[in-house]
Amino acid sequence: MTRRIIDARLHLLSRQVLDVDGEPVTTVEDLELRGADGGDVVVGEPAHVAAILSGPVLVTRILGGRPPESRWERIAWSAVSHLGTVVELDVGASTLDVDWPERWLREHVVRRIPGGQHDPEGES
Amino acid sequence: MILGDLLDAHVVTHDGEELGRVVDLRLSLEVLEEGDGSGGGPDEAEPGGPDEREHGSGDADDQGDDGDTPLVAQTHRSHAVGSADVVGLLVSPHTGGSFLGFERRGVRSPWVVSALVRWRHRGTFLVAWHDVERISPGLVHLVPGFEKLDPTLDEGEDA
Repeated sequence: MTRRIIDARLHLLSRQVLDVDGEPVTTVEDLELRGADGGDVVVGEPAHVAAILSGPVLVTRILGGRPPESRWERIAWSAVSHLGTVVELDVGASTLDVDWPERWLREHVVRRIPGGQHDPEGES
Repeated sequence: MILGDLLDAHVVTHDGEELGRVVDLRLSLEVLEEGDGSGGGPDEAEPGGPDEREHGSGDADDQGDDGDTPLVAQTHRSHAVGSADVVGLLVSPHTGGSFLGFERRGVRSPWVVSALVRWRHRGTFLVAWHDVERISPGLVHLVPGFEKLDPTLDEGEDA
């Protein structure tokens, strides 16, 4: 088995995340670290990246601090299929909670706009 | 624990001597065998074939007049990946920031940027995860007798 050495901030943070169809999902705002058994990290003991985190970080990045755990949207690392200049997932965006604002806007706002129920560039 | 808890945290010895700040977290990424060639889904910028995913932006091959390769050309192809295990912490004695990882790679161009960033991050070292004694908010304590490791990012080599 081959392993590749990367640095989290350099290679993962702020990278765009694409779903299995190549559609943009979010960007990597932070990473969740877990211990070998999936529990909390114990320093000195093996740890790994458990999830990609995305959330309302704009204000906290400017003014400091970080959002509470309940505000983070979590994408399990096991859903990551490929890593290059972007992070590619092996699941569709519609299966992820992180996509909910876009789905909500589509269902409750865009579809109510005349012409908003079909894709003008796709099959109609 | 999240990565943000570690980045920019102060790093001190067991006795409390200041060593610097955490600038990054080094990971060992499991690379899986590909069944379909060089990559999986479509690229972010170009809908082309696997070959165009060999490089980050594909337009920097003509740089490096003294033989070094630009950062973009060192961007890896998209790998099928598995687990990402923590290897250690990158510690810089002078600053908490990092700029494109210039200080950890053999890139020398553009010269002004490279020289400035290398000077700013002089003394950056890697600390193995097992040399971390404890972590408190904004502070990382290292075990007595910790080892300063080479921070160079040897991309593409086995861990």
